[in-house]
Amino acid sequence: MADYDVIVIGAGTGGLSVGAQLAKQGRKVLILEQSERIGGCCSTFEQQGFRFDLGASLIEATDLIDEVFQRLGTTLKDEVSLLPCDPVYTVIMKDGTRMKYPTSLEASAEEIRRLAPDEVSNWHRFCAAMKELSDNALSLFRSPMDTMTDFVRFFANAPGMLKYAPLFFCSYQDVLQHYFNDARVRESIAYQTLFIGLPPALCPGVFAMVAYGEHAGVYYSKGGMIGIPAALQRCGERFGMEVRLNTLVDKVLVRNGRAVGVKLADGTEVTAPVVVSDINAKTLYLNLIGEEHLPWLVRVGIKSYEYAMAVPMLYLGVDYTPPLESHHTLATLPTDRINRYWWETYEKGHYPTDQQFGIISWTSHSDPGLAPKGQHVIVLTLAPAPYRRSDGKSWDEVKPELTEQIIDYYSAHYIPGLRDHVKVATLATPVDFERNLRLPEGSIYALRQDITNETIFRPAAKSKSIAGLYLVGASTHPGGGVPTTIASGMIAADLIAKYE
Amino acid sequence: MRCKKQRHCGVWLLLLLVGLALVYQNLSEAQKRFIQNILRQVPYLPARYAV
Repeated sequence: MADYDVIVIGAGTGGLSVGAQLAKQGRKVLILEQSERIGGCCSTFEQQGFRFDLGASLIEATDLIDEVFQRLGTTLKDEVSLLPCDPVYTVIMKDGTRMKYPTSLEASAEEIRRLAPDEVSNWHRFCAAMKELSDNALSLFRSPMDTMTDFVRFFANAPGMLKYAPLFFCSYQDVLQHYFNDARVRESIAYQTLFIGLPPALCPGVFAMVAYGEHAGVYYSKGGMIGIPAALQRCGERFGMEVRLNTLVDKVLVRNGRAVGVKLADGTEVTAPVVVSDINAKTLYLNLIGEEHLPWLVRVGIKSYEYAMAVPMLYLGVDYTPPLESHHTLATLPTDRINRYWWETYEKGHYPTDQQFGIISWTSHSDPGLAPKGQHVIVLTLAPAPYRRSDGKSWDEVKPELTEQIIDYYSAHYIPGLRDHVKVATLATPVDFERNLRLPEGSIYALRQDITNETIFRPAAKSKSIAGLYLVGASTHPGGGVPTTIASGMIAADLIAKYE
Repeated sequence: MRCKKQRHCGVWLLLLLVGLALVYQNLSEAQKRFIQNILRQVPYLPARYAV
């Protein structure tokens, strides 16, 4: 007799989503989390009275998240206090141009008119195409994409997607060039490729729908982004789901090609006929399962995946109201310069101290309760960083100096006065993400997300080599991001209901 | 007869390759990088499908 019906490794949003749904199905579920808090990259920590979001700082595609809560007999709105963020973001371009993208498409068109009047009609054309693409692609986020049959079934059920199939084979940059003539307009909506973890030239064109999808509304969870995983945990616990923190899984127990439980770091064995992994798929297969249990083709495949980019983050508590205009400010570069940064700086292991692009999240603008009265929280999502530095120095070694240099740069270029008002400054490097969240090489989206790593080429939700093993989270379809990892929990829960 | 057919096939294949090479030459640096990135990973696709 097994100890549990299902063991989930990792209490990220994917793990909590699948755990809660399986508990609702009447299964005895145990979630094991190695760190001291839930949520993975969608989490919040407190330091000297300031509440900082560890990674994600807003959510979009709330319909998708709501679907999971509805499966749990409730709604997202009832479980999480969501604060709308409008405008979606403010852009500060390299040439100093500032513009906003309000939620309303019409209001955004007016902003574009101010910048480049001829581009307004192109904006509407772009939005119409991306709306059609998004409508057709919706089922992609809810359907398994493990086999060719799944792939064909998806296109058979959404024949409108065939029209957009070429977007899988061209870049995001190509799509922008197709619709827009003005380089500044292109620059203003090119940053989204980094949400996918790639520069504009490498990101598949189909992700251009992200730039449209944001206008359905983006939201912040009051009290911090941990509110979303906390709500999933709460819902799961109503159905008996158990979450254990500070519990590291050392091995997945495999007998006769089937997962039968896990071995913890302290040597304890916990058994279950179904194991779900919410950790990086390379770590799962190569370290927790072991190559001896994998057919050679699977070994070749899993080793061939490249980790997604790592992004350092600087958490700042400040004792003034920063001269910013919205929850999110994107400090951008022209698309070609982001590409050049990727190839000539990031991929060569360099990391510049003049941080020329990044995201400034002023979360206490949306929720003043995150900071002591009159003070504020700013989180800087910095440019992608190489895990291995070309200068031979360790990230821990450069951390104090880099922190000061980044504050100086942002103070001089984007947030006047910042230097004189910093009360708390904590930098999280790729090594910190690896150390604290067990993200190998600090990869926030687990594996790269170009078309050779997507859908049927991403590790399958229902393992093809180990029976009783399922995957959720950024490593599997539909990929990294809060709504998508929560949706991966839906896909896995359906597969487990069908096969186990 | 068979030899003639093979020669025709060879000529068409050569023309196709020359055509593709010409198209590739005229792509921007960014487009070339996009294609190179995919081609680099194509050999792994059967193995990735197995995971």
